[in-house]
Amino acid sequence: MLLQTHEKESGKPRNFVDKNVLSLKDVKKHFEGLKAVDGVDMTLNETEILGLIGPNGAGKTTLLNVISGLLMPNEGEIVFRGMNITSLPAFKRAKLGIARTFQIAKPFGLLTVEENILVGLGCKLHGSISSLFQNCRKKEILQKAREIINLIGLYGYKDQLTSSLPIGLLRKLEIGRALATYPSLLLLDEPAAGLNNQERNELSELVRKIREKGIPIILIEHTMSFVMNLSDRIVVLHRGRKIAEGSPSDVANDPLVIEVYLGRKGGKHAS
Amino acid sequence: MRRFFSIAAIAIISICGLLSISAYAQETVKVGFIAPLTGFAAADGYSSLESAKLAVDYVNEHGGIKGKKLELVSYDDACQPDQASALTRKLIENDKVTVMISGSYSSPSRAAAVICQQAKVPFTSTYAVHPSIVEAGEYCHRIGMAAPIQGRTGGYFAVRELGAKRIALLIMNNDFGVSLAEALKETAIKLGAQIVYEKKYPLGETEFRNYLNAIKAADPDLIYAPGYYNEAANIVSQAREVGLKCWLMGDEGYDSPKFIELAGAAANGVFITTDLNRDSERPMTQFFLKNYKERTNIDADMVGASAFDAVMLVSHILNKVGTDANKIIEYWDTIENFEDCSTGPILMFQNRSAIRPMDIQIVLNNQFRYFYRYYEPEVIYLNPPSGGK
Amino acid sequence: MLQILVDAIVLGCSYALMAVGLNMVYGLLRIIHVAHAALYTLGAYVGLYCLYHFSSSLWLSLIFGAIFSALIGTLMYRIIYNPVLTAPRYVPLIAGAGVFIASQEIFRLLAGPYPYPFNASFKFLSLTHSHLRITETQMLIITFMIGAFLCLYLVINNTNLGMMWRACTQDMELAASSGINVNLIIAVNFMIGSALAGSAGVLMALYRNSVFPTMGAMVSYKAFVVVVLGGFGSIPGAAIAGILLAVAESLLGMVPLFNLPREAIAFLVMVLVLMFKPKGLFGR
Repeated sequence: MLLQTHEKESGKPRNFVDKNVLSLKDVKKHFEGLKAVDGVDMTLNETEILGLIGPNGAGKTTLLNVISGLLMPNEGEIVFRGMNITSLPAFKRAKLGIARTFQIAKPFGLLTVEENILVGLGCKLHGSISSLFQNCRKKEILQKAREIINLIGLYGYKDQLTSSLPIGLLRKLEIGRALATYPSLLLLDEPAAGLNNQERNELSELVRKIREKGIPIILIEHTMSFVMNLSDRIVVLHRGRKIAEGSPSDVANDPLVIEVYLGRKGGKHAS
Repeated sequence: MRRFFSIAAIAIISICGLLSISAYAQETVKVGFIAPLTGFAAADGYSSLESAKLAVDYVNEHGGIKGKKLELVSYDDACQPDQASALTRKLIENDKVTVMISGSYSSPSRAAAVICQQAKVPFTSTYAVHPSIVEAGEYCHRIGMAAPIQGRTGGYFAVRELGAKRIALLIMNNDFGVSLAEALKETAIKLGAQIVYEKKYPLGETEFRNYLNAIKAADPDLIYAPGYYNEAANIVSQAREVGLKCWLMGDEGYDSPKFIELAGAAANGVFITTDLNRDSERPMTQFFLKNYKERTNIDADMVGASAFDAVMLVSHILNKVGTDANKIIEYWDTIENFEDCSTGPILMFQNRSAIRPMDIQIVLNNQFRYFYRYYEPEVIYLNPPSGGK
Repeated sequence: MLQILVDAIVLGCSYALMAVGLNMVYGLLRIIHVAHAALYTLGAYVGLYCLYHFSSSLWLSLIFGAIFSALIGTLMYRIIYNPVLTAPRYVPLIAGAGVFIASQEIFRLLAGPYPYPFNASFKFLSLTHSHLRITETQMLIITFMIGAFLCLYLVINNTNLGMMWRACTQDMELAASSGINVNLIIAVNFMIGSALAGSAGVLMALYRNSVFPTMGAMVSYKAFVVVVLGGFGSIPGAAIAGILLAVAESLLGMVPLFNLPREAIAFLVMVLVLMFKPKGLFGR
């Protein structure tokens, strides 16, 4: 950590930093004996969409929580754009640019759509105590909020309480809320769960647009077609361990992955 | 060098130890004392305990109990009856006290009285007024004024002296307030006055304007508001604020300089029934007032006076008859005209309750002043002779 | 009649000022902050100290009372509540009750068991009319309460802080992931609630002209009733319920044959409201 801080100050980050937005080194998260994440190494490149798949209980969401800071890893190291963030609290990571959505879409229910976006914007912009007491509906902030609401296509709903929105719109709002913090890394936790085909297509479009803006994405998804189409690279987790990694077609043809997904043949997992 | 210090330290500690043992070796006569030193009644507990200590110091400076030192063993009952019982047991069984004094409110005093009666240890309450305390049995006495007497005195004064025809009652809802109000009500009705308003308020209440507005509508000549000074100060100042111009009368619970401090100018003109006469020239009263102030830097109140008197009376009895419980209670009932106390002389004990002339005090120029004194048996006796007017 | 209403509203203001702090804490942390009333007493004692040692001006007392209560309230969160937040709900409840009881004895040890008068000098509007009289103190309390609630309303609805606070009351995890420093918001929350409790303490000390160790006890029950009445977590609910309760108490207390003490009325009203509106008058 000391070394990297030093490097950052000197303005000459180490080589891998150039390529990698995020790198995990032997990250472990255990819950009273349950090894939810058990030594995962992973990297994410600039402008990449990384699909994170695996059967239920593979540790995908736990891994996301560890990256976003809601959980602290027991062991390992997380480096984000050259900074060791292993022990940073969630809100600081959010300010550094790590944004996420949740598996169960849960925007701030008693706030309007616009206010949900404003929360993220307000946090990003405020740096001093005095800004805490500034008007949260300043013109330039509202302007930015409109842009994001337009991007996610919710302009017609901007003054509605979010608790009244249907799931398809909530999913989009989740992403909008995450975008409002101006992320340089977006973590999406099953953004397509509960959506119909049309909504799923719109979501794919939205995710691509975001990537075109230069934001790398880690995507957890159960809907295979969705994740295989979108992702540049896939990481497969099983019982807290990475069992495969590669392009979508490579992974789809990996015998171990097939075994994990289609049920065990002989019950052996050589990893 | 270090070694020297440690040896010196050990030497000093052992000398202290020896001294304390020798102090213990000197026989003392122990008096048990409970008072609320924590909780809502802590102020009264403090007055009470400090006054008792003052009396003990006085007694020991004047020869103690037949040459032995008088020792006060005191505990904090937090004004809780269950704690009072437990502590009384502890005082009797562990500390082996000869006499028990309660410097606490009515309910803890009652709890303590029952324990003392069972253990056959002479007991006295100080300023607790509830009639049932002495009913625990022949070992239990009261130094203060019983509620029936005090309420009755108030009734006589209100109707006979102030000529009140319409009386409003604003009563603190506990043993103290209710038993005083009942006594006054009975007397006032007997003497021909009318109760035009009656309401209870809880201990700790601070807002009385709605009661007082209703009282104003009932248009009384006098408001009797039995309670403690903290609430009373609010009642009195708010009564003047809402524009009530009738007489205000309280009880010994008002009898603290704090009442005047809190109520401010509104306190002027308020009558109280009490037994501490600050204008008295009796030496014991002046001794108490002066030394209490010197000791605590606070002006003395009735609660303290009562505890002071309890210790004075107990030491008088112990000096007379020794420490035998039966002899103590036998003598107790025969005491007459006991003068060595800060409140008015104790004329006698009736049903183990002290009988003394009853004083009415008035607040004038922010001070309690003597106003009137009752000697008549029909007023001050526990069971007034029948055929009284 | 009008007079009775005015007197009741003044009393209601004190309930509301206390209840709003309780409600803010409940809205954010879902704990019942029993020790809140200790800050009321603290405010009164700090104000008293200023009065005796610095100046006889009320304003200084009020400011110091509020600041001290805010500081101690925040510390209380840090030291008492923060470590037990993940424990079952009754743990912070009991911890708070312990702090409240201990605080009464600490005040007694520091300042003695006797009540002190609170003679502060100040100038303010007053109104005297043949049928209606509002004293300076009453006017001050009403103004303060309106001002405090107006400020609170504006801050909550129109500033970044308020937005973040509202976000935190909805979902803390989400708030943290959106870049909100949740601990800071909780601290600010305690600061504001405690400052209101402290100033309520100073104002009521002035109104009653007395300060004593157990002065918070009655207020704490009442504030709790107000919170239940107004609906847990609702700030306007606390304000309106506080005043409604005081008015109900005063009016019911006037009914000649209805011989129940004020406290009993308060809890009776609470039980009745809960029977028909279990979430309180303004609960969500």
